[in-house]
Amino acid sequence: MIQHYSFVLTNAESKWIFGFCRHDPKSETALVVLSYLPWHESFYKLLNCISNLTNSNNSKDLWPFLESVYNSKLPIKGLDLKINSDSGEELFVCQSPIQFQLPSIPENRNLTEYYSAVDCQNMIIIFASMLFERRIIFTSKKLYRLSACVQSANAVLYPMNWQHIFIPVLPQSLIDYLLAPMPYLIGLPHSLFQSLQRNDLGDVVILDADNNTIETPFDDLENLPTDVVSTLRRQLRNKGTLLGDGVSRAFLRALVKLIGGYRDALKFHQGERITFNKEAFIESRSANMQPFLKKMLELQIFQQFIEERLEMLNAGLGFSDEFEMEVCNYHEKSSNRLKHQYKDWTFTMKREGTALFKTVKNAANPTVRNAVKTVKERGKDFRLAYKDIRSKFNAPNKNPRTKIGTHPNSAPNSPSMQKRQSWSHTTASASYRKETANGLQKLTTSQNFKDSSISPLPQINLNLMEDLKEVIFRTCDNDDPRKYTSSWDDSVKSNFIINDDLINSSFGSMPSESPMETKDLIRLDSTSSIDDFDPLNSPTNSHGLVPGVGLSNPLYQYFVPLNKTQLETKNNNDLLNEYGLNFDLLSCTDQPGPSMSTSQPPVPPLPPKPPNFKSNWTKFE
Amino acid sequence: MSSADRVFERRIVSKRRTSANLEDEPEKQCPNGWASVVAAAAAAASSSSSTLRQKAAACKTSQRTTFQPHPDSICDWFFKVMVLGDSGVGKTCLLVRFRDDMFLGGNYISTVGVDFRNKIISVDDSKVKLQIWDTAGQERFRSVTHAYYRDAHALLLLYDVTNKVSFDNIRAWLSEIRDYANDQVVIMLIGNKADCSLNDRMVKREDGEQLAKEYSVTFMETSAKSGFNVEIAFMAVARELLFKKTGIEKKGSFNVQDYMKEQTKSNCPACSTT
Repeated sequence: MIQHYSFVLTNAESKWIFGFCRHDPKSETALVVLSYLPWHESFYKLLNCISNLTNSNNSKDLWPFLESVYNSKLPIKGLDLKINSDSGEELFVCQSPIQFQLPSIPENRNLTEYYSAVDCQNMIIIFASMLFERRIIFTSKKLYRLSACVQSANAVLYPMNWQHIFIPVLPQSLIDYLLAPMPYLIGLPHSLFQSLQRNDLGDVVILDADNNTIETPFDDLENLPTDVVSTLRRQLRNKGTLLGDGVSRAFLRALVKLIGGYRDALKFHQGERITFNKEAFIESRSANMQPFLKKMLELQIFQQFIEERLEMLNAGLGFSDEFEMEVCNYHEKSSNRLKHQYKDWTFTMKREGTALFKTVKNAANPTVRNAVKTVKERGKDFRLAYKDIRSKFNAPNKNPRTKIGTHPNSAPNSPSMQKRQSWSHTTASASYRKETANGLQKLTTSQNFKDSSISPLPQINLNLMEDLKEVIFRTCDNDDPRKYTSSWDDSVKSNFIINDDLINSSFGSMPSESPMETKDLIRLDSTSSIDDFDPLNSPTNSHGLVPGVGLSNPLYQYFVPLNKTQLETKNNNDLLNEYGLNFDLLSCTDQPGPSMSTSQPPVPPLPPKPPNFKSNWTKFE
Repeated sequence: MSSADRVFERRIVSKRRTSANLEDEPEKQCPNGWASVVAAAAAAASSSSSTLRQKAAACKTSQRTTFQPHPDSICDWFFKVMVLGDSGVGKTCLLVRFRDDMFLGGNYISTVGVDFRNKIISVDDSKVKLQIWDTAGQERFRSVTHAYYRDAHALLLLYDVTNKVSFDNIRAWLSEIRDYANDQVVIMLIGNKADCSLNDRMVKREDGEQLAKEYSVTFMETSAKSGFNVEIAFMAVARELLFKKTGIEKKGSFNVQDYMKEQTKSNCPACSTT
């Protein structure tokens, strides 16, 4: 059987270079392609193509073919790379992987192999061992299984990345490296494994991928929060979700529960870099999570993850990936229960009507008063945070581009005065509007800038005052709320046009309350509500600010944000795509193909330029 | 088959042997092996075709061959030492200098991002084997966390006296390490490239000393190029490791700083070599 496997070289900067191999057991040689792109499927396909050319009659095509592969530009994600022969015949075509796509079964060979060779329980143990950064050895008689398992074990750690020694296939001459005192993940061919003196190794975790057995001297699994493990186990055993990215997503969700809360611990002060507050991170999590998280802080893998996120934030780059989306989903879900209670509660309130309003007014009900107060203060903090961010982003930006939707700081007809005179609670509505915007707003970075000194409130789609409006207004006839909304509604509209367009175009029909009320929600807070801080619209993006992302990541950054000129030709959908959001894929409509293919103007060669393109991309030896 | 895989056949005696045993073993074995390693390395260096990598491999092999006949006599103690520091501070050179007593210039690019050297040192009446590990790309870590070094017995924190950034990074790492490292870990701060000219020097010796004092670690300036203090640094590490291991049974206390002062008296001061 022909084997496809991969090895990894680590260079002096600790970046990985993949060696993709195709070995026909009948042959004494193997074909190898070296590349920094982690595209296993594409390169295995390419290797088959090369093999065909080598063996076919027209082997003269081989060198021109290799040359054109070598010289071809990196296709934009999701688009095809095509190589034609001189005669115009299509020799090779492959799709460049879509960014942020989770590995799925059966398309992703590595994960498919890993899942079929190793059962759920052992996968989880390996997952735990990797989170605790152990010295880990995989062994198998088959090289393809060995490399696939090692690669996948790392892939399911997304959005984190193994930071230590990573050798999917260890050659015999390097066997001493198993003595390394630092964490490693090494794939050891079974023949070498047998010759090991195990005593010399010290404490290692060993997975035999052929027999699906594991040996570990540690209690790492027990040290993971039990609810996370049990959910993960249940999801992995659910055969119904086996196909597709169910397996990857199960691990991703586990990670969301473990580390998704990092956002609550981000600290920001004007003029300073955004930082991560370890103590706040621990304290903001539930008690059963804290012991694990304390350990987590000591891990390089987590440290580098935070570093990478901070780098992106500090560079002013919004980011939305599968991880951040899952974080939002998770918050949504966990707040559902609360929302339910809240619904019951407001229902009772409405029924009680006048009586209630009196209570509120007389401040006899501390719960309600407190709720209003907290929410209000929180709204303030949001605003403050936003101001900081805004000034930060504006400062280095010498030539701010006025875009539709960027809100001038002092808008004419600013409704702030009216608002303050009338309803102090209105700030609350504004600060929570974000939550109502179907997750889109949540994906913006503004969400991250909560001052961690605020006690974390459950993030829920609540709008206390909006829901109780009916009750309240019933009692104060002279204060018709419509007055307020209509008076400044127009000034608001233009500011939010882009957001609404964005949402509408992406979601088709957006379920909403009466438009009036929506505006209300958005605009009661006038002074540059944080809501219009949107990384998609942020002017910094247009300057092609490429952060030093990837410094902490052993993978080369093969995705580089498009430069300014290209950005300007894009519509909102493309922008969303740029940040890995594709609502066409998310929505229920079965539209074939992401919006990229339909709405994208045919911008000629769009290759993001990887550094040292030629010297890094592919090499044939 | 190379001798590389024989490492696991070798029994490493990691417990202290009895004095009777010690007498059985001729104590000059280590110096003998040491001499032949140097000879082999020199031979490898002189062959024009060999790359740096090959040279290193040749050294490694020759060393093993030397010690192979008496696997049990290799050492009384075996310690893993980790070298930490930005790339370009001379980690690899220091290792090579220490083991082979020769300086290798130029780039050493590792294929798997990690490398190590073995060296056996005689400390008083016992032989200590230091296995010194070096990994690539550490400068990407803003702080080096506990998981990274928890299995190491000693940490050498290396900075380049001609490079302020490398010094600042060490400072950041030190606080992390102090928080998490257990008391058994030996930590030494080393300012390398001390042979530089005064103009090139960016980190004063006093700054290094101050930092070391702040975190109560040993400090030393070395030059992998000239060999200045290299041997002494590793010797000090070996001694301190040994002391920490056997401190209870040995009377008196061993002070690395005192030891180093003693040793460095006879040496030329930093910056005198150009």
